[in-house]
Formats: sequence, C-alpha cells, structure tokens
Amino acid sequence: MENLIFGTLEQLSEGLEKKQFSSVELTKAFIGRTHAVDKFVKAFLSFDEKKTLTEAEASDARRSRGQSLGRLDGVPVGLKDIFAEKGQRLTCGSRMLEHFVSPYDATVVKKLKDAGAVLWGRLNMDEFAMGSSSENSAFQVTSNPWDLDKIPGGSSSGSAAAVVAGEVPLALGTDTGGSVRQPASLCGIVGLKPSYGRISRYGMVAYASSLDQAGPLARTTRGVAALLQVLAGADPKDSTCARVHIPDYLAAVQSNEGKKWTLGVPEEYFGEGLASEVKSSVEKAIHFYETQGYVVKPIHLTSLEYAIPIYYIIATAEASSNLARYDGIRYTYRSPRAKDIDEVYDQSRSEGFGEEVKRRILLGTYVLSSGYYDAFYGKAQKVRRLIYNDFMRAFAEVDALVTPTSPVPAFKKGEKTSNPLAMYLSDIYTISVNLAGLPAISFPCGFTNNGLPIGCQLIGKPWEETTLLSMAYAFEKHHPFNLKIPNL
Amino acid sequence: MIHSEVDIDHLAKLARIEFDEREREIFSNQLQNIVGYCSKVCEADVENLEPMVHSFSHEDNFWAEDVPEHCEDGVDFLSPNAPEMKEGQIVVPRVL
Repeated sequence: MENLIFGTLEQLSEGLEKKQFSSVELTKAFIGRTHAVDKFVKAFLSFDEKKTLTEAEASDARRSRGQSLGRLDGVPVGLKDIFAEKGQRLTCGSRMLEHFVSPYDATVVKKLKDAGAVLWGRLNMDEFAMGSSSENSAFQVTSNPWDLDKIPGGSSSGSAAAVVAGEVPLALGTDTGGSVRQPASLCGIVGLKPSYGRISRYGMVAYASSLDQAGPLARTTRGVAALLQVLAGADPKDSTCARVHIPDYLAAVQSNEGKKWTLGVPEEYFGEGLASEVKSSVEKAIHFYETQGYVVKPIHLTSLEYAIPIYYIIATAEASSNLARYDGIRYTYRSPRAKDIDEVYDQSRSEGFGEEVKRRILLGTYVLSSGYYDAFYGKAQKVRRLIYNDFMRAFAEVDALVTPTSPVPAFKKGEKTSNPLAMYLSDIYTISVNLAGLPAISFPCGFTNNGLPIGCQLIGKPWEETTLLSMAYAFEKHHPFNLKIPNL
Repeated sequence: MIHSEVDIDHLAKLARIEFDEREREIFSNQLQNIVGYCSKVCEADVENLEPMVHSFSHEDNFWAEDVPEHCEDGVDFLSPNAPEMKEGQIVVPRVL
C-alpha cells in the first residue's frame, strides 16, 4: 500500500474499482502515514479514525453490492477546519471555536458524503482564514514538507501540506485572497479557486463573504477536476451560489487536448519584488505554451497596484461585520473572568481572538466608521470595479492570463510575523482574482535550487474553469513536477 | 493620501476588543502603517464607475423559503457548544 499514498486519484479509483485494495485498506494506509509524519508536518488539527473507517467500510459494502457512487467513492478527502461536518469539531484555527462541534453538514460536506468520499481529518489553517503562512493558527504552525523550517503558505496550510506529504490524496480549502493557490504553489501541488458562486458557501465559516470561495487541492489537475465536479452547483441555502451550467470537467480536459489558446502575460506581474527563480520558472512555462502553438501576448493590468489596499479595506470591513457574531453568548468561547454582559462581550473576544484577527477587525471597523466610510470603503468598491473592468478588457483579447502565483517561494517560519504589511504583500498576485470573482488555478512549474516548489497561476474568464484545467493539464503532462515527493 | 490619525481606543470600543498598554501601542502603530498604505486608493481615478459590492449579480437567485426544519436533536444540539446551559436554555450574566 506504501506506493498508493502518492498515487493519483485515477490510480486510487481504478484500484478500488478493480478491487485491488479496499477503501478500508486505502484509508488505513493514509491514517498510518499521518501517524508517521504529522508530528513533523503538523497539518492535522484533529481526526476521528473510528468515524473515518466506518465511512470506508460503508464504501466497501456499497462496492461489493455493485452500488459504487463514482470515482470518489472510498477515496479519503481532507477538510480545512472551516467546513461544518456534523458531530465533528470545527475550530477555524481559533480559540474562539476551540470546543465547537458542528450541528449540521456544510453543503460541500454533504456533497462529498453523497459521492462516497471518506472524510479524513480536520486540517490546520490560519485563524478564520486570515493569513498566508499558518502562523496565525491558534494551535500549531504547519511545516512545509519540502523544508520543515519553512512555512507551507496559507490560509489552507494543512490542506496543501497534507496532500504533498501523502497524508491524504485530496483536500478542500478556501480562498479569499489566494488561500488555496498560494499554499498549493508553495507546496508543489495543484489548487483551484473556482469562480465566485461556483461552490456553495453554506456551512463554511465566513471571513469576507463577497470574496470567500471553497476550492479543491490535489496532486494532479485531474484530481482537482474530479473534486470540483462533485462540489460545483447551485444551492438553495446560498443565494450567492450561481445557477449556471456545470460542464463535465474531466471530459472537457480530455477533449481540449491539443487545443491552441491565447494567453495574456500581464507585465505588471513580472516586475519588482518577484524572485528571479520564480520569474524564470514561470517564463519557461510560458515558453512551453508557445512551443505548443499557443498565442502569447503581453497585456497590461494597471490596476494591480490597488489590489492589496482595496482587498484589505473590503475584506476587513466584511470580516469586522461577520465576526461580530462571536460574542461569548451562544456557541463560542466565554471568558471565565466576565461578570456582566459587557465583560462577556469584551473579554471573550479579547481572549478568544488572536492578534491578526483583532488587527483585521480593528481595520475593518476603522474603514467602516463615521468619517472614513466614503474615503476608504466607498472608494474601494469603485476601485474594485476598476480591477474587474481591467480583467474584462484583457479577456476580450485572450483566453486566460498567466502569472506567478506567489512572488517568492516558501519563506522561513517567523520571517514576516512582526510585519503584517510584508505578509500582506505576499498575496499580491492572487487577491485581485477574488476581487473580480474570477477562477484561477495554481500548478507546479519548477523547483528552486534549494528544492522548493514554484507555482504558476492561470486566471480565467468567469465560469471558465475548464479552460484553466485544460491548460494546466497540458503543462503537467509534459512536466510531472507534481509527482516529485518530499523526503520526510 | 488621507492623513488620518487612528484613534485606537475608539476603534477598540466599537469592535468590543480590549488590550493592554503594550498591545495598544503595537496595534496603534501597525494600523497607522496599514491605513497609510491603504490610503493609496485615493489616487485611483474612479470617475463614472459604479461601486462593486459583489462579483456577479444573480438576479434569478432568491433566498430559499424559510421553512422551519425539524431538528431531531431538539435543543440538545446546542449543549456541546453553549458556554453554559440550564434546563434547555443558554445562561448569560444578568443584563439588568
């Protein structure tokens, strides 16, 4: 079973289908791997082996009756600790929810269960998805499996690290400003941020509601496509989840093989601050596409310089409102010191929230406060339109944009913790995608001399995940960087 | 650029967050820094642009009818999560 831990989804599904191994055997292999390596990686916040093995047994029983539910049936999937799974803990990486147990299933969890997936563990994250390194988790810092002294990216830190470490073959994360793509890039796997509204947010803890979107992570593009297939679709419980056509992603990736697309290269993404090794790897990927007959043209996205300022205005404004619900009354941490109702609010929030969450709540409160609302929040909403229009102008000429995912490879733990602004700047290439609601994918395009993965990002038109998956797959077929395995 | 002082005490009161003197100073400096950076938005030319509150409008999407669902666990589903419960009710400190 050892070699299966790093198998692709196709290999795992085929092995289950042909009864070369059972879901219980497969699941036990991942559980064993987790026990062996997670003391170093620290990707998991909690897990329930008994529940997971019960799900695997149910899958095997279905298969033996000839009632398999499809390619995910019996395959373990990890969940970022932000999704509600009935009866399981959901901490969101915060002391505020340290003992919270979900009373219901998120829509994505229900869909995974309906597809027969075996849910394995709750994966570490920056508190309330606010961060780019896992260092804002209230419980532990996840290590990058390629170099344990480095961060794995964030906020879906555990999701990316667990997949590349072979602790789970597929995982679900969330992406508000790059939180699926940046850790996927830094860990050397594939991560997709779908169009806003592609996947239901019901049962996913809210950070910034107009930007949050769930996204799949896997070792391969086809693994990501298979997971998206199960998760996509309208949901009466989330009115922002769109009723739009859902293609057969895997079939489309297959039928698009050999297709020549037009790629735009936004020059603003290749300037100051981009590490030379990242730049040269992404340029090599662009060159590959040219050799495949793609038309590559330079374009301009001049609004990039506003992306970080307006993201931190809009996201924190929404966060300050969303996180007002954590008041120490109904289901959150309550300070034992509090003697009256005001102290319950103030002390519970002060003790329950970590530093970054407090910083963002304060910033969001500031930009929404009297005297600053128009100058900051009102203006940022208009600049958001500017960014969207910039993208749409580009998409009149090209099918997708190609950029680095992160300006730098994985950095050392502690390197940016004392300077929040420096940490915010590591999201420079990913956040405008969320502001415009577009789909984007990160896939591995090389390694640094020190053996750290480098990610390339493709940004697509609204609802055109298929185009991105097809392009990423075209590269992956000729450059199997994703099949390299870290030494643990 | 907007030249604005961050009144950290006022913000803390609005956000219902308390901190000690050390945290107060750190947050105050960091927020002043971040606000200075964010004031870059003022430079953008946004004349004739409509604010964008959401990426896509889904006019055909409506909230689902709010039909109460039967909860098989009754109020018991609250008990693992509520800080304090008594006779099926969440206990809070006296308000009056």
